[in-house]
Amino acid sequence: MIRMELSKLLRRPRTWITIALLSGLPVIVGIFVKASGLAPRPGEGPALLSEVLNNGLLFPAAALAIILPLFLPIAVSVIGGDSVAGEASAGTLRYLLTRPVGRSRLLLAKLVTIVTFIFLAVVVVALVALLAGVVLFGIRPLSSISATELSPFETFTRTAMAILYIGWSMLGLGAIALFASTRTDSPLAASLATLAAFVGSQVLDLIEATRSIQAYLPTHHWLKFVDFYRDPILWRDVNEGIVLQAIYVAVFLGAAWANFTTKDITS
Amino acid sequence: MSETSVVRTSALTKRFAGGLLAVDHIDLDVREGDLYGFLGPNGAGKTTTIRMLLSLIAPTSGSIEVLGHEVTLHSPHALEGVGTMVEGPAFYPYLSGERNLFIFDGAGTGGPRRTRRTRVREVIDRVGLADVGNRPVKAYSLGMRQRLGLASALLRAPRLLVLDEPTNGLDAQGIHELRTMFVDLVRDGTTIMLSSHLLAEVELICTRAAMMSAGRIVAQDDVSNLLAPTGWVRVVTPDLERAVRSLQDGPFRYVPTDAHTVRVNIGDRPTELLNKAFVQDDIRVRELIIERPTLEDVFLERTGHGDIR
Repeated sequence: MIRMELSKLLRRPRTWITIALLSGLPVIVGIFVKASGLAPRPGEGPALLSEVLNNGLLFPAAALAIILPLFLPIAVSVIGGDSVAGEASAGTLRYLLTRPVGRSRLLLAKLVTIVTFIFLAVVVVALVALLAGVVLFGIRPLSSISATELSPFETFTRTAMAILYIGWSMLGLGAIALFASTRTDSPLAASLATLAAFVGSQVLDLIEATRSIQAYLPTHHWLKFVDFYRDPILWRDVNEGIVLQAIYVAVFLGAAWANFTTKDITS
Repeated sequence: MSETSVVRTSALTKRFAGGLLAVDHIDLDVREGDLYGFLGPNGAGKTTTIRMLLSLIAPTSGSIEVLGHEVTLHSPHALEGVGTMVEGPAFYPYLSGERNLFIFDGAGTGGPRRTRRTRVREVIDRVGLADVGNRPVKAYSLGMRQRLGLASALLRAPRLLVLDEPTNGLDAQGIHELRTMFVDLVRDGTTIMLSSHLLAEVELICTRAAMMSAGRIVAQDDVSNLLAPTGWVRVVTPDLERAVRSLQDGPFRYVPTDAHTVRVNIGDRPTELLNKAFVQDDIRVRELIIERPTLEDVFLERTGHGDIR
């Protein structure tokens, strides 16, 4: 079942077009930064972009910082929202479920495909950006954000950790999308509901009045991945982010499961 | 034909959240070897019933047994051995016909991966799509999709086929091929339950039938019993006047219908009695037709809308 779901994901042109678009945007930004020699000043613009002129090895992290605030969550919302509702609207859901397939198992397979998509996307974006970064900016020793030096190898491992963290950060949204996807037969409605949750979280994260709940918002810790580039790594916020995502996944996956396993399939 | 039950429901009922009573205490009994027609107009509750049989919809009350397994939303294994087509075929349009069948064959337990290619080949040949198997489904015509849907239902050589309106969208040639295929499948030991709102279509091939109207079963029997003679015989004769005179003295009710035809009600007595009487009176009988109801007549009669003869 899981194998079949993955094969559907990987054989679908949409998957690769989405990933190509996600990878393309940072490359375009990189080309303009290189051509103009104008990087944002430290503390402005996407995280770490200020540093890439000095070192191409940081470009993967900068690339992820470019897609993280908007494009990656949109992609996750679309793919996740489509996962069950898309099958329902196409009518294939009834054919999957009249095979000897448990509903829990199908839901699990859908979760695995969403997780696969997320990690596939961030890894491909990072690899493309690595290539673009090395070609455009070259490799140099790097000063970390806390002003000590990181070797190229250290930069590399920390980027790997940042990639994993960013992938993990998307799981909460992925679980919300999966839940929304079991609630409706319209993939569009499910994706938009997920986007609404995402935008809502971003809005609440911005204003002063909601300070007391901000640490519990699903998007609050996303940009904390820059802490992997400090020396030593600043673990506190990152750890909070990891635990918080796990809680969101548990809650919404549970809700999706409770809903989907008892639901009348009339599509 | 044996008497083993393949599908059995008891007091199966579905009331939807809005209060609509879609299926009202129905007892279905599909037996092994049946080509079972599940009939009724659109909106009678056929599809809801079929969805309950296939564990897509949870019954409000009552029970379902399919191939000896109790069916609930949590019992996927009851569906091993069942092939389905519900409310039109559906596929992943961006994949080829063959790849779609791979996906559906790979969904769930019961089909070893080693032999998947063989199984897919076999069913795609059987429905006559071997030439277009590697084209994406979005390029298929309606009829080709319908065939592919049937191919998908035939994967893993099911013991029971549950088909909802399988002839929708097919042309006359396609419908004919499908009928032939059904008869072949039943001869090879498959039981088929098919729903249709086209009663005439079912009459041609089904051995047993149930009729549903407004959520209830109004008839369930062998088709030969449902279509038993009405007791009326139509006599075509050039000697109508003399025939009527002869009937006046006889025990039967009769109604002349045109210049050459008279309908005679002989009840359950044999037709040859009537024929003999005419021959003795030297009345020339051109045609002697035993009237049988169509399934439509039976349906209308049982639902109280018919002209009851």
